[in-house]
Amino acid sequence: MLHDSVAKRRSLKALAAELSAIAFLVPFLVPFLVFYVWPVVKGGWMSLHVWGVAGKQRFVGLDNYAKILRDDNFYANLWHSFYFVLIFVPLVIVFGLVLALLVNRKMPMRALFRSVYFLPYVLSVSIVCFIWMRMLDSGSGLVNSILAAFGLPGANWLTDPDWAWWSIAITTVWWTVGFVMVLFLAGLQEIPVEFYEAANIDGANSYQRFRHITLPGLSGVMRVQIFYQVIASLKLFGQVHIMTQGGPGDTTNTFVRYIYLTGFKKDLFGLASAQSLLFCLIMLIITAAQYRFMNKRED
Amino acid sequence: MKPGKWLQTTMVLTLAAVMLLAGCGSNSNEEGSGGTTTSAAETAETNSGPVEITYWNLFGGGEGDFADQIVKNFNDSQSEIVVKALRLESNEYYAKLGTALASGKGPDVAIAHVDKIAPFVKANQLAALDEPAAKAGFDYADVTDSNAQSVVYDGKHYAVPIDTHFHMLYYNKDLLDKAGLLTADGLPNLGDVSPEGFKNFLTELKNKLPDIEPFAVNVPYFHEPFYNLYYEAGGDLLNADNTQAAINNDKALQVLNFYLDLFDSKLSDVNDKTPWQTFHDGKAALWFGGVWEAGWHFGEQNLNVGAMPLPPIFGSEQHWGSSHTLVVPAYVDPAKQEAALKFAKYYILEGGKIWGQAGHVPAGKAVVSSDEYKNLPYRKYFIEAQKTVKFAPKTDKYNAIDTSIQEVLQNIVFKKVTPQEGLGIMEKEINDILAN
Amino acid sequence: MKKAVVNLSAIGFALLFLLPLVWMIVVSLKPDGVSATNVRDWVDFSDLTLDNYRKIFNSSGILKWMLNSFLIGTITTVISLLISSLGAFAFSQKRFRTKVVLYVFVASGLLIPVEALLIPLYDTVLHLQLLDNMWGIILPGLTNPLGIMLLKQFMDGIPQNYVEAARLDGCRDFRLWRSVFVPLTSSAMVSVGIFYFILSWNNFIWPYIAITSEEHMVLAAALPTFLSNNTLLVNNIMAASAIAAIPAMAVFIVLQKNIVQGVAMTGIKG
Repeated sequence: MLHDSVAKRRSLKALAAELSAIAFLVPFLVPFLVFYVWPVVKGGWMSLHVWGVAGKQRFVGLDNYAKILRDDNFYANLWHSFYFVLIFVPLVIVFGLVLALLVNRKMPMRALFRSVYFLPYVLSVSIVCFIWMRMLDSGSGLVNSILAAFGLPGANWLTDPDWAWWSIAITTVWWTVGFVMVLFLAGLQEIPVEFYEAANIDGANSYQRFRHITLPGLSGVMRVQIFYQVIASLKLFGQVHIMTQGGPGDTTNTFVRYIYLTGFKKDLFGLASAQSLLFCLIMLIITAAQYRFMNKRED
Repeated sequence: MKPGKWLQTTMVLTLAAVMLLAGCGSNSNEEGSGGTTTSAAETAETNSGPVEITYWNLFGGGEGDFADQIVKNFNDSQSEIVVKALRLESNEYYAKLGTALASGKGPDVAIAHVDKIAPFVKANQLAALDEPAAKAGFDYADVTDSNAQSVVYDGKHYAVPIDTHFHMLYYNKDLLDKAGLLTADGLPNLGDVSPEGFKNFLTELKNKLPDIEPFAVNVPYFHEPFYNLYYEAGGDLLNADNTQAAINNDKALQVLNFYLDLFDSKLSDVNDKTPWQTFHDGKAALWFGGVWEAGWHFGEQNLNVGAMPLPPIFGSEQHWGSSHTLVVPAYVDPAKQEAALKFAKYYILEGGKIWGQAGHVPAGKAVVSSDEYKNLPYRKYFIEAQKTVKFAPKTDKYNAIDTSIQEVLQNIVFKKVTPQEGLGIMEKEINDILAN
Repeated sequence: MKKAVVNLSAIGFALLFLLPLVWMIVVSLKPDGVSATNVRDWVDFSDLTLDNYRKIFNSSGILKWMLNSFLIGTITTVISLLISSLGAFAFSQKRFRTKVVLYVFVASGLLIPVEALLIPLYDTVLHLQLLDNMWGIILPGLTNPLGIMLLKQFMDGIPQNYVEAARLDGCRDFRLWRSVFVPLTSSAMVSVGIFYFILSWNNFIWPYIAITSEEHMVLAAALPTFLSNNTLLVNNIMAASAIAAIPAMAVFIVLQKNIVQGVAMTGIKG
């Protein structure tokens, strides 16, 4: 009997502890449920219908999904999104880290440099794209003009299938590396100064300091950064929509642009919702794989 | 610095709290009145003050300024109706209009392209306008016949067209003159008006002026140059009752091969993403440009430019066109519908004079035949070209069809599929869409 | 020697970063009709004018739009930081059985692109009567979980001896959060705050759809009206862009000192 009441008290205590922890999450979860989860569920409902401008048209069950999986464009566009992740994420992480290290040293006017590297991030996607479209213009763009001044041949940066993705990547790096840099900076601040002092006493050179103190110290931030950049670049839409319109042809057509066109240009909202859910599923698998990979490394 | 950080946080939170309360205050006023529709309806009933109608349009930049001027003139010209315009220039305009129409929370009158209204009509989201037009004293006979016909569904009018817009052949007189290809009348000496003849003309241009692009083609919006020549060839997108694709045929193939040949021969630059700018900068001799570019090109001091209807290279003078119309959502109450039609009437009879300056051909018969309008540069050619415009097929699936065609055209132009393959894909996709 | 090379590369990068922006500013100061792409025209600085800016400020409610954007941005940022920090604290410091499930649930908020959610979200906000309302923009903006995820990482990095010391002092839960974790993650919070502010400031598509009256318009959604469908008045576009960029930049400049605030860990005895 005593055993029972002790067990009951323990489980009540456990429940109380559980609830008090969750209480800290409630302020986030409430808007999250109402303004994200619920629309996602509604989207799921829409994906089971043919849903047009007029609203619900008819129930088609899983037909939309079958249609998508039979569509060549689905696989092509998915691959395009993956491709961008492969070329972009290493670029932006490495470059962001380099800039953070550059700016973290004692150097004159480092606040100025910090601001300059961050500056592009405050611009909206349409402005960034507009500026870079002009600069990368085959005929009168700045980039080709400068190359010509050095006697080098220009290129069709946005309409040549070989260059289109790199143009998108460079534009995106210019735009967003400032944010990566800032997060790495915050991470660098967290590494205790005395670690470095101890290392200096031990006679470590800068490479060794970097490898054994800085990198491990940044591992937490690095993990989230990579995780976030992979997801964000999988969702690439604005730049390929504005700069290349998915082109040349459909070379740079990403999955999200595919969803956007299906929904907003073809009025096929049910189909677009199905595409979104499939995409979400695929991303879940990727992030789960990422998570496992990252955590394994930590051990 | 920790206490400083707390000070900052407290300040920001206080500021936020103040703003929050300020925001809540003004917003609760909005919600209390239940939105402009109800309050203005009450106003109309009690007859105490002018009827206020909200007007959404998608005009930006210079065009938008003309549109604003027309609204201002209308408001100044009478005191029963006040039009409040909201400029919403964006590629997402129809997403916004669509959600507004579906939810019942939107404007009292809005601009819509004529080829976009079919789905809204089918969904019963637009008001039939014959009754409110009668009450407002607006007669559709004042509108150019082809325009008036373009907005009829099931025998009723569902919009008021305010213009037609399409492409003209803009030509750089100085460049053509230098190449010796300008006639005494200042027109391009096109010679044999056929695909081969046109290509020869361009080749001669290129030989005489090697640094100039003979013919700028709108590659980013390639469906427009495609439709232009395809319609000239007598082609259609769909069959007569809009149930089947009719695009996979020799005419389409010829047109596509024609353009691809021009790109391959470097008579047109397939990599130019801003061909309108190339022409405007004097780097291209010919350009199938929109009528809406008229003001821009003609106003450029360094540019000696002329405009003429598209030459019937592929046989006929039929070419692509669209038109802006005013639509009234179905949820709008009768008093406001009438007010909206009075505004439309003004647009047709008076506003068109200003609207014509923006380059579009106004839909009001009176304006188009007025001297004022005809005296605008090259306007007689615009009027002539308007007569052979071909609008999009009136199917509620047009958006999907047009988007599909655009996508495949891009793949064709950039050699990812052959024209034959491309047309086959288009046919299949269009039939899928229609069958849905 | 190495220092010189490093400094030179810093300067080199800085110039590369600035080049497009300088181009934008110069073009925004050019009068109508001057070609923005012709380099010769561009370097001719004799025709610089503030006309484009004047035109934009004089026409309609740009100041109102900026105020709306600023209000929405600030409120979104402050609330986001609050709820993210609280949530991060739970994930980082507390043990509870549903932790992993909830973390995955929260992280999944990153997955679905906003374009895919526009229609169902519109429906939801419509039913809550928050259309054309500042809160209709703020509340959906609070669903981005990046803040929680980042702050959790930073909180994980705080040495346990700090935490133990505080706990021994009788600090529990909320007080622990407020007195220890919030101050110690201040650099991270500033970074996250900047992120949320800029996200909100530049947010276009949702406000464009959800706001139906001019008084409630935000800058990002209203500025495209200065663009033109087919004729490109580049100078106007660049002036409008500069106007949009300056406040966001100002926020960054003011807050950036706090990023390198750093936590002084010296002298703490374990």
